[in-house]
Amino acid sequence: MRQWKNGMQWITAALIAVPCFTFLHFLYPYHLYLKEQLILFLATPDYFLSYFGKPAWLALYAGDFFTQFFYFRGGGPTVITITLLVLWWLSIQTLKQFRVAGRWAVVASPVLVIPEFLMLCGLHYKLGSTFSLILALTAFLIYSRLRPGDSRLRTFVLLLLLIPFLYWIAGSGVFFFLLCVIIFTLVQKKPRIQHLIFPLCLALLIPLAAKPVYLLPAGKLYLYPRSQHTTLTIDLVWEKVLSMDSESFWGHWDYVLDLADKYQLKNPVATYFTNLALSQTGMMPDRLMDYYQPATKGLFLPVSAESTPMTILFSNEVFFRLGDMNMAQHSAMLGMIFSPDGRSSRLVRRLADIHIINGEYEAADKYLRMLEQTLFHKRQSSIRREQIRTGSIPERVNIPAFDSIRSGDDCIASLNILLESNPGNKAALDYLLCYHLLNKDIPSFMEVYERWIPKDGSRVPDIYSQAILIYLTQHKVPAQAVRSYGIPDNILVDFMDYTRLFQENNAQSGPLRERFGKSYWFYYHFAVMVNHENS
Amino acid sequence: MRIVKFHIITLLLGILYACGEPRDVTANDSLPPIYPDYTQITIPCNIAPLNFMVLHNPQQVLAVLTGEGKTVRIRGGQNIRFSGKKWDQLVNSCIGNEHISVQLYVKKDGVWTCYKPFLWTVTEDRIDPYLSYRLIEPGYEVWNKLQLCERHLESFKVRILADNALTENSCMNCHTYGNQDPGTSFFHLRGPGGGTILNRNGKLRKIETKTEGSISAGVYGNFHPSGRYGVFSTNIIIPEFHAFRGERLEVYDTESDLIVVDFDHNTSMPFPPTEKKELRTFPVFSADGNTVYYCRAPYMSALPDSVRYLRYDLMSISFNPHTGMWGDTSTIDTVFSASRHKLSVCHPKTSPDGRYLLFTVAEYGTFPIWHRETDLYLLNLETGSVDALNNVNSALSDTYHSWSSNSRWFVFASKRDDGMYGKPYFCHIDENGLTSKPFVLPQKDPSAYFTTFKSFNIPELSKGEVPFNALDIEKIYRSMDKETLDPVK
Repeated sequence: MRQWKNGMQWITAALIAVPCFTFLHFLYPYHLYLKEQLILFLATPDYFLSYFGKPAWLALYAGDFFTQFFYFRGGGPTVITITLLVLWWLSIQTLKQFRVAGRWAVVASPVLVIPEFLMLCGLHYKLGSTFSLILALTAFLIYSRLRPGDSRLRTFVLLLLLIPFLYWIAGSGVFFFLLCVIIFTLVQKKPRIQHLIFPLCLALLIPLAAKPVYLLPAGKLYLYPRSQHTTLTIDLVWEKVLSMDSESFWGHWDYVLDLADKYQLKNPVATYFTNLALSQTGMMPDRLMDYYQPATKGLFLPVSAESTPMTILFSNEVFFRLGDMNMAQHSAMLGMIFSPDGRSSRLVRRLADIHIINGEYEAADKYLRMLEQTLFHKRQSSIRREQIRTGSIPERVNIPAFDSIRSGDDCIASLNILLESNPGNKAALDYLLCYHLLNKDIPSFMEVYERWIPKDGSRVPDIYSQAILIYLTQHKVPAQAVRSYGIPDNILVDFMDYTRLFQENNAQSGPLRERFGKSYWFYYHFAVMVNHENS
Repeated sequence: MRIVKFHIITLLLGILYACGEPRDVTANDSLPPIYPDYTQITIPCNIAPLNFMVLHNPQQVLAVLTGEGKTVRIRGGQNIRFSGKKWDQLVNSCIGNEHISVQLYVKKDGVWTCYKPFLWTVTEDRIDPYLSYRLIEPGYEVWNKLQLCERHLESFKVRILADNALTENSCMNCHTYGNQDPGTSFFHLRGPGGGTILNRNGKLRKIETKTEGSISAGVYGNFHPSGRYGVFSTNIIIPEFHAFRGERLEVYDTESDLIVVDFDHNTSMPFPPTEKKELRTFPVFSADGNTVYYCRAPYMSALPDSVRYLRYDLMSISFNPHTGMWGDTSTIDTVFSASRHKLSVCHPKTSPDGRYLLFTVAEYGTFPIWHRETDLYLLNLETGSVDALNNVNSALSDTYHSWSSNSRWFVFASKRDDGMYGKPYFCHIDENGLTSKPFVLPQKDPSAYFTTFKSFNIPELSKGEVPFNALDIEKIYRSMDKETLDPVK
C-alpha cells in the first residue's frame, strides 16, 4: 500500500513538473523573460530594507530573488516548476492534517497548484504571491504540529503570535492560513467554535491595524502581495507579441521579421515591433504593406492616460532606435514609473544607454552602479563602462544636433528634428514617410520625399513608388515628368492594371485583394481609419 | 578540542591584526574620494551623523576624527557610519565654530593610503530640525507613486505626511510652511476629493482656491507672517519637451496671475488690474508682511517658439495686512531686473529676519529645475547688492530653496550629482551674509542616493513636527467637504 502511495506521489509530481516545465520552457518563455525585466533586484542593505515598507516582505524578497533567474533560458521554468512542486508537497501534508486519506490527498493536491500555475502565467502575478502561499501552508503545518487539541491557552497564544507574524512575512497568505485553521478545527472530533472566532477576528483586524505602517488602502491591505489584475488565463497571443518585444530589445531584427511572418498578428503592438524591425533592416519602404497596419498606431505607441503599463514600457524602443534620446528617456522613465515596483532592470539598462549616447556620464553612472549591484546584469554594466572608456558610441551620430521644443506626442516634429540633424538617418526618414503614407497624407509624403530623397537614379522602393504614382495621377502630371521619378517599370504596369481593375469593378475591393492586397494603392483606397480610443 | 581552540585563537588574532593600525601608509596630498562630498563644510550642531562612503571599492577604511581634545576612530569596509552617541559627543565638543578634523586611511589592493585631512566647522547656529519634501520620480509631468515626507534632521527618522496610494493616486504638490511653523502649512491635493489642505495648529481644512474668473486653483503660494493670508499664483501650465541632449522639459505659463486668500473670511482678492497683460507668478510675502514679491514677465502669445525670450523680473507690490488689500499699482517696483541681464527669476524667498531675498536665476522661462544653468542668487534687501553665490551653486540645477527660521541656514534642491535626481543641500549663511559650501542631507546608508529612483522635490525646513499624518489626509480626501472662496471684486 505504501509502495503504491509512493508510486502515485511520484507520478503526480511528474504530471505536475513535466507539463509545467515543458509548457513554460517551449511555449511561454517570453512572459518569464519580461517578468525578470520588470524587477531590479539589488544586493544592497537599503534595497533589502525597502521590502519592510509593505506586508509580505519575506515572500516578496524571496520571490524577487528567484525571479532574477528568469533572466536565463530555462531559469524561469525551472524556478516555477520547483516552486509548484514545493507547493504541491505542502498541499499533501496539509490535506493529511485535514484527515484526508493519503491517496486522496495525493489526488486532490493539484487543486491548489493548477490555479497557481495559471496565475503565474499572467504578467501581473508575482512569484512572491506563490511564496506567500507556501509560507502560509508551512505556518499551518507548524501550527497543526504544535497545537495540542485541548490546550485552549496554548492555541490562542500560538495564533496570536503566528497570525501577525505571518501577515508581516506573507501578507494575504495569512487568509489561506486562516482557512486551513478553520478546516482543521472543523474536522476535529470536538470542534470548538471559539477556536474559529478568535483567529478569524485576529486575521481580519491585523491588516487594518497595520494600515498606519503600510499606508495602503483597505482593499490592498487584504490582498497584498496579490494584484487586483490577477487572471487565470494563458495568453498565447500576448506571448507572441512579447516574443517580438524581447527579440527587438535584444536587436535580433531578422528573427523579429521571421516571427512577424509566422504569426501574422493583427495587433498594434506586434505591428510596432514589426515596423521597427523593417526599419532596422532597411526593408520598411518595400515591405510595409506586407503586414497589418493600424494607421500610425503601429509606428509609435501612444503614451497617454489610456495607455497600459506594458505599452508605456515598450514605447521608448522606437525613439531609442531612431535616435531621439530625449523622447526615449522620457518614455523609459515613464515605463519605470508605471512598472509594478517602479524599478525595472530592462529600463535601467535602457536609461544607462540613453545617457551614455547623450554623453551624460554622471547620470549613466547612477544606473550602471545599480546594474553592478545585481547578480546577472553586472556584465552589461562592464560592457557599457568599456564603451564610455573607449568613446566608441556609434549611435550618437543620430541624436538631435540642435534644440527645439515640441509636445510629447508630436512624432512628426521628433522625426523632422532627427532628419535635420542628420539627413543620413534613413530609419527616421522611412518612419516619417511611412507615417504620412499610413495617414493617407500623400501631399505631406511628397513634400518630405522631394526634400530628402535626391533623384539620383537609385532604385525607388515599391511602396514609395506606389504612393508617388497616386500623387502624380491626382495632379495629372505628364508622362515625361513621371519618368523623372525613376519608378520601376513593373510598378507602372501594376498601376495600370490596378487602375483598370478598380474601374471595371466599380471600386470594389474583392477582385483587387488577391493581386493587390499588399499594395499601398489597396491600403489607400480601402483601409478604414478607425480611432481606437473611441471605438 | 585543542585544534578548535587553536583555530579560535588564530581567528581572533587575525581579526585583531585586521583591525590594527594601518601600516606602511602612503601619503596622498589630495582630499579623499568620498560620497557624499562632506569635505570642508560647515555643519549645524544639531545635524544627524554625516555618514559617508569611500569610492572606488576600498578593502578597509579608517576615519580618525579629532575635535576639541576628543578623538574618535571609526572603521568600515567602505562606509563610515557613526553611532548617535559618539557623533553627539564629538559635535557637542566643537560647538562654536570649532573644527572637527577628519583624517582618512584607505586600504586598497593591500596598500594603506592616508589622505589630506578635511574639516567640519561646527556652528552653534542650529538648523530647524524638520525637513519636508515630496518624493517623486523625475518623470516630468507624470506621476504614479507620490509621497510627502518629513525627515527629522537630528536623526534618520522619516514620517510620511501624505501618500497618494491612499488618495486614489491623485497628484499632490509640495508642502509649504508659514514662518517655518509646523502649525501653519498647506499643500495642494488634486483629484476629485482634493483641494488646498490648510493646517492651522493641527486643524485641517480643505479649500477650493479656484473661484469664478480665476485662471486656475492656487499653484505656487506663500503664507503671510500672521498666518491669516495666503498669496498664490494661478497658472495655465504647459509642459513640452526639448530635443537637444542635456535639455529636458520646458514648462511655461500661457497665462498666470496672483490672488491673496483670506483664510479667516474665505475670500480671494485678485491682483489689481494693470494696463498691459502680464504673466505673474511665484508670489511671497516680505518678512514684515507689508510687501508681496513676485516674478513678472510680459505676456507672450507666440509660445513655445519664443520661450527663450520669456524672462521674468523680480517685482514687489505693497500689501495692507489690516485690510487684506493689494496696494495700488503705483506701488509696484522692480526689485531685480533680470531680463536686463538676459536672465529670468523664479522662486523668490524672503529670509525670516527680513535681510535677504533668495531666488533662482535661469537663462529663461519659469521652470528652473530642468534648466541645468539654474543658480541661486542672494539679494541683500538692506544694501540692494546681489550675490551670485559662486561657492554654493553647481554646474547643474540648484533651486527650490527654503530658509531656516533663524535665517542662518537654507536648504535647496540640487541636481549637481547626476543632472537628473534632486537632493536637499544645506547651506550656512553667517551674520555677515557669507555662505559656506553646501552639504547634502545625510542618510543612514550613505549609498542610499545611488539606489533611489526618487527626487527630493521642494525641500522645506520647519521648527517642529507637522501635526497630521497620511491617514488624516486620506480621511480629508475621502470625507471632508471643500470650502469655497468668495471672489472680492
